[in-house]
Amino acid sequence: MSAFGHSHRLAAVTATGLVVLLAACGGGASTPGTAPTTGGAGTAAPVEITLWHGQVDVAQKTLDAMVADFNTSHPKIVVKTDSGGTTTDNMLEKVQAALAADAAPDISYLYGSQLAQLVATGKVADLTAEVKEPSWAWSDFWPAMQDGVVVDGKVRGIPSAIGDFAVIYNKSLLAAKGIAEPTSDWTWSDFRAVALKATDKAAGTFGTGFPVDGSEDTAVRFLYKLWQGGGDLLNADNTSATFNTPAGVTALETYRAMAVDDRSMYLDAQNAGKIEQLFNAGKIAFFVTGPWELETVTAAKIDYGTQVLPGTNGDHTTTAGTDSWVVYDHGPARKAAAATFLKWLTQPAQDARWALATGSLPLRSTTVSDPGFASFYTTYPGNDLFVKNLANAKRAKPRTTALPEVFTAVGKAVSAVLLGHGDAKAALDGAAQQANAALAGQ
Amino acid sequence: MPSPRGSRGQLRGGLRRRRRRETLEAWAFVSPAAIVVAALSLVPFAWAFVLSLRKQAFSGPSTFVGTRNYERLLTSDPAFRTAVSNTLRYTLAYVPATLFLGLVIALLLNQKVRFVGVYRTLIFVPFVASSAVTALMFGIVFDSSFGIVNAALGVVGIGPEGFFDDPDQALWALVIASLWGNVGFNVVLYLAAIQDVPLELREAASIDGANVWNTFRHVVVPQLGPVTTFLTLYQTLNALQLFDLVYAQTRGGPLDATTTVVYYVYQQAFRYFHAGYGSAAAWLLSLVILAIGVLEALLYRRRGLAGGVA
Repeated sequence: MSAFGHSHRLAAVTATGLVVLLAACGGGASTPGTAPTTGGAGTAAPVEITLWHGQVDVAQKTLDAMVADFNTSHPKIVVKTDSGGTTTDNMLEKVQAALAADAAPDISYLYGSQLAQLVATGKVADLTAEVKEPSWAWSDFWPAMQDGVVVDGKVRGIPSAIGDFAVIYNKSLLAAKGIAEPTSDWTWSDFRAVALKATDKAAGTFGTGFPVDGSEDTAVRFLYKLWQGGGDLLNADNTSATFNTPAGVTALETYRAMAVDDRSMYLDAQNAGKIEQLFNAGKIAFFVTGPWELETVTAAKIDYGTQVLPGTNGDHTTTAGTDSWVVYDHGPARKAAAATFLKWLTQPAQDARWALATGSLPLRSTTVSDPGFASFYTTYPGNDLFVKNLANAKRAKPRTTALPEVFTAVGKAVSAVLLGHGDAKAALDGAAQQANAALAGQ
Repeated sequence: MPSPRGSRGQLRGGLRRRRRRETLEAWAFVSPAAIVVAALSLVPFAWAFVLSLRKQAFSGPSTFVGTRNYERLLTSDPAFRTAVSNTLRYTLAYVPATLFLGLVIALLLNQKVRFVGVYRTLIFVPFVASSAVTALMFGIVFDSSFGIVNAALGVVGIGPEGFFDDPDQALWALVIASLWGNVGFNVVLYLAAIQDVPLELREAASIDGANVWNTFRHVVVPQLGPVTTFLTLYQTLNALQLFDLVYAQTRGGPLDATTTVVYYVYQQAFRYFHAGYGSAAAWLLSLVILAIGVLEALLYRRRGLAGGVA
């Protein structure tokens, strides 16, 4: 009997314990967690660095093969790969714990919106000087990624992945309803009209879907509309919220009209893939998503088309998720080795190889013309629009430690309004207040 | 010549020495477990208090803020207030329901019916299943668009309901999922307690002319007092610490409708990396739980049942 009780009672204590275990390790003596460094250039022993990639399956195999090639062609550096004991989803927590225990790797994978939080630990290497070298060809990376890795004016990561939002639509569903397919110059009123026409309550068909779990997923769909209207989430120095301006209200009002007045939006409160499932079952006419969804849509044998986001006055700006490789400072020799490896890894030849093996979008605009990239579009059909659309990913999300809280505040406000609770202006004002409190670092 | 006093003194000294050796031996046996317990629960518990007085992430800069984290939690954090309110409403709905259902099902399973062993096992199975399984299953059953419950309600002309998608229903849907997962435990305890009621008492009651209801009300129920006390406190503690089902089912949504205190702590600590602030919230909850634990101990002592049932 007590055995049953024991595990249950420990739940809260465990939560407390975890907080503590991670924090308790902080600020200890400095002992490098991985291999010893060499005395610098010119010594015989190669510099050994560790990479935590968090990748699985094909991506993991491809990366391991590429690293093996690098180690062969660069005898002075040995890169050792390790998943980091986690996937990319939990890499931030894992790295935080490793940093606290002084057991951090030299390089780890990281989601873009988490970069600022990691930089705040003070243990992320500054690569600003390195990437200025012409051999990096830094300006070849898509603009959203060049900005996305900069925190407080310093380059804190090297682009590792990008995914942009565009529209995937069901061709046969639109045809059956006599609706014209969206064109590259379509507007938000077209977006609303198509959704309304495609909605058929009796048949259980919705025009489109919107995740309303109040997460970053909710917030970014508000963000590109806000950007198109000339607004932004935060002011230039990330000290106060600016999304409750008329641009923000207009953006949210467009969605509210679709969700509440038209009822043409399927609202997914749990954001557990229901919108994708409904689309793949032919119950949703179109939805905004990234290239990662193409595989399941193809597998579901949906006759689909792709299109850029609707525009505001011809501006089709989209948001893109940008991930990066982050380097942890273990002295100049290992930092230089890490930079050398990452420069090699992101060159067009390697970038193309990675894209072709994993279906990831190219990191650099120059990769698109690399001979190794030629068969990408036939191997991964549907991706051409998403690659072309990267030119619309002009802006990066703000880099601030409070970003998760800002996204939560915005996500909840948007969700509440779409679920019919409250009006756009008041909801955004409330969210701005919460965001400002988080930014002030209370 | 040694005086009697002296010899008594020597005897006492020898006893003391032997007792000291026994104490040492006892500690030698106990210490491995004691050290593990101290390292994994007492030290973190104390350290969490230290953390709760600071503003800090897991690594990086940190500052001492005194009781400011606690003040903010108690006076100016609407999200925490929502979490407390959700936790209390959940507890107030879940605990009475789990006791009532547990007793009713135990009474039903105490009848002489065929295959009763099978039914008793089936009732207990959900308790053994993990919360993730419970969450997955109720996600399917309560699906607002394609779930079997909405389909059934549709037949009788009700709904469709939102369940986990509706901020006004999500918490109650969670209570139902929890009940399904945990009521088996209460059933087993009540069943054992009912079967412990001496047959002579029941016989005496029926000889005195008591009908089935009166026997139950005046003979069986008073005998169930201790187990009811235990289950009330045990399930209250469980309810106050609800996390796994929330994490697996709703992630605190929609619109914070199912954010419990422990989920809030998780969010603060592991989503926003406010380790100090999260620790303060965890400590407030711990104090409440500690108070209930003390109450539990007092109740048992009054009944002379310390450690009896638990």
